[in-house]
Amino acid sequence: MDATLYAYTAYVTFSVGLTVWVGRTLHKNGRAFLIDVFAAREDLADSVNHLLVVGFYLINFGYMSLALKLAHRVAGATEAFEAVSHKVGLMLVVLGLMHFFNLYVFSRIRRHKRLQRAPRPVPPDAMLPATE
Amino acid sequence: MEPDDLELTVWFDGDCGLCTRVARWLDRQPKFVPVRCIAAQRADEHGCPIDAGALLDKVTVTASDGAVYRGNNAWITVLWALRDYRAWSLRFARPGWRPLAENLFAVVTGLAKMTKQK
Repeated sequence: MDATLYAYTAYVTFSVGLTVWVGRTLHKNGRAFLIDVFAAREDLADSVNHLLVVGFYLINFGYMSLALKLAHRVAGATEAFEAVSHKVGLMLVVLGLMHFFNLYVFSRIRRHKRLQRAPRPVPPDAMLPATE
Repeated sequence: MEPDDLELTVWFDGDCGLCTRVARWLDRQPKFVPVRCIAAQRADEHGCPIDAGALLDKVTVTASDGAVYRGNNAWITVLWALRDYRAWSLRFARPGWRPLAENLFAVVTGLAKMTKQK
């Protein structure tokens, strides 16, 4: 095995580990949020949560695969380290962006549901007997 | 929680051009809660217990559960019924936004008086 192959192995290991970690964090902490949004319908919340995490994994693993190839072969350990660091750094930035995008989606869903459930904001000026 | 069958009725001045346009605009808006617009001049025909004079004096909204909203509260309640404007309704109802909302509605009311035909 040459240095380039070592670099690839290290990159894949790091990236898979990081993606799984972020994915699990989202899955675990997004749940409470979604249960609130779906008015305590846990089955629905779990389902949406799962679908979101699957999308997250698909995009991240897809990006990881596409970004794997190094532009040139690395000669020694130092170069391999630099190359891996660069690739992992890109991966982290993409994960960060995806993470914030997910939070944005969660908060959008939540805001919309809250609006839908909001009661009339002002008290009536008078009351008539109900017509219906 | 609001009743599921809640409906709002807006009593507007049928002799005022702007009011009629606003009523038509309201009819087209996507809604959370059904809204009917009826000219205050025809309030009797629709069995409204408030007399037309009082309805013409200030914009009035009646809800099917008997609540009556007048003036600023009427505006805010109508906006609350609209899908695209509920966020604005909740904002206008907050104490900090109230003065701005009142000024805004006063301007609209002033314009409405100018477009009155009688």
